[in-house]
Amino acid sequence: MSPATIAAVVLDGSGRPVPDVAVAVVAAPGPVQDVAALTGADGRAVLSVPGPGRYAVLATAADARTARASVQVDAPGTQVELHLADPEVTGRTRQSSRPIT
Amino acid sequence: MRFTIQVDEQVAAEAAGAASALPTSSADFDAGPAAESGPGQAGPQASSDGHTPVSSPGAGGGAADEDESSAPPSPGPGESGAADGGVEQVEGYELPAQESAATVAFSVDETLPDIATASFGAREAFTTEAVIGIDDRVQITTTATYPWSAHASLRITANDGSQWIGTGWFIGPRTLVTAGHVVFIRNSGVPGRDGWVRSITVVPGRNGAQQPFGSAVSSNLRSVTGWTLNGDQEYDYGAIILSSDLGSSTGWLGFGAFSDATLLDSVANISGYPGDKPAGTQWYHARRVTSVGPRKVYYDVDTFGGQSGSAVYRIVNGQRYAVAVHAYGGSTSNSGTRITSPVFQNLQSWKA
Repeated sequence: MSPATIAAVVLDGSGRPVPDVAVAVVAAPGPVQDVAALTGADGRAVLSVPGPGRYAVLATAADARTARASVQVDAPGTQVELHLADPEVTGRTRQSSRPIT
Repeated sequence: MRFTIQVDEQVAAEAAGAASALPTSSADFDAGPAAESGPGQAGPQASSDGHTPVSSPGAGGGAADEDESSAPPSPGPGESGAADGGVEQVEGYELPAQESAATVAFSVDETLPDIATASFGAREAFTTEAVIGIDDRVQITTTATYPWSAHASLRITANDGSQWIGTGWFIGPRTLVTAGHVVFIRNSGVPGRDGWVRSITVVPGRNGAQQPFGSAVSSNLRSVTGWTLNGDQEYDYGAIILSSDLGSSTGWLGFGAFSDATLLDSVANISGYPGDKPAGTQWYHARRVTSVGPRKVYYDVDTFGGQSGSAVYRIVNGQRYAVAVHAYGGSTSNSGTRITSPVFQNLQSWKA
């Protein structure tokens, strides 16, 4: 496979770029280097991936907020926008079986 | 990875396609006599092609003279917890009694409940991903004590100024081993990024904001032509040479070339600095080696981006010996560059 890139930008809830966030590929069609990029002052980081395919990317901020996205890489420079959010809790209550919201 | 992921073979094959670097069967490789350690003992014999060592332009003094006798560990400050049964005795961690792909429960994440939005690509089922439900990695908080002190958080500055995180481990007072792609970036697709990285900040035994041994910055780097010229994953290893002897305070790990049979009977231990955990915290995990190739070792140890360069080590009579350099996360297993005899010789020559 020829190399490709995923250009990620990490934003907070207000849409502001967040620096120093670790961004890494979390799922890929094949083996990937086990490094993580740190976003710059502009919230951006460009990951290199082995080639086209579907990838998942995870951003983890120093304050434990995370963001995750799935992206189909078809061409160099594929872009993804990640919006940090508090860790999500999902499940069902024991008594009512209603979804937790 | 991503945590180690077990997927249906058919799904994995479809996902990986023909380009997948699947493990080579151990039957494909005629192992030499079992070698517990030491350069004089015949471990797996790999071609020396590609193992020609190369140095970064910033390389000043170079490594110390070769130590032909052995590559034993050197315990550092106050060892924390005895190692037994091939794994570290860490509170909160226990190696599962039964380990096989057939017995490990998994679930395919078909919906990928993204928090974020992707500007390209439909939000459709992501069939390549299957994650083991429980994240049983354990955080190491006693990082100022050996063996955890021998592992270092790395902050890498590439040629284009981009910043990355990785992991390295001491093999001597001034030398850390890491992945080749940590010290030399190849084929990134980003203008100005490829080549020897600009510098690496080494923080041994880091625990978040705590830096019990301080830090050091180096641009004195090593790798081999199999990586720097060819970009071959099987030669993806390198080293960082420090100008100070931080390793004398942290202690260091041993390393050795081992036979297929020995590796397949081993537990792979990894401690490093994953990017999905609080910044700069060290995390440990262990699982049995799943397969070996002539120049690779495969395992189901959970890792994540930021752990490239970690030692994959086995414990022999309480002593830690690295058998591979962790480098890749995959959809079916993680893998590291195997310490074969040529790798062993290079690490010995880089040891300072």
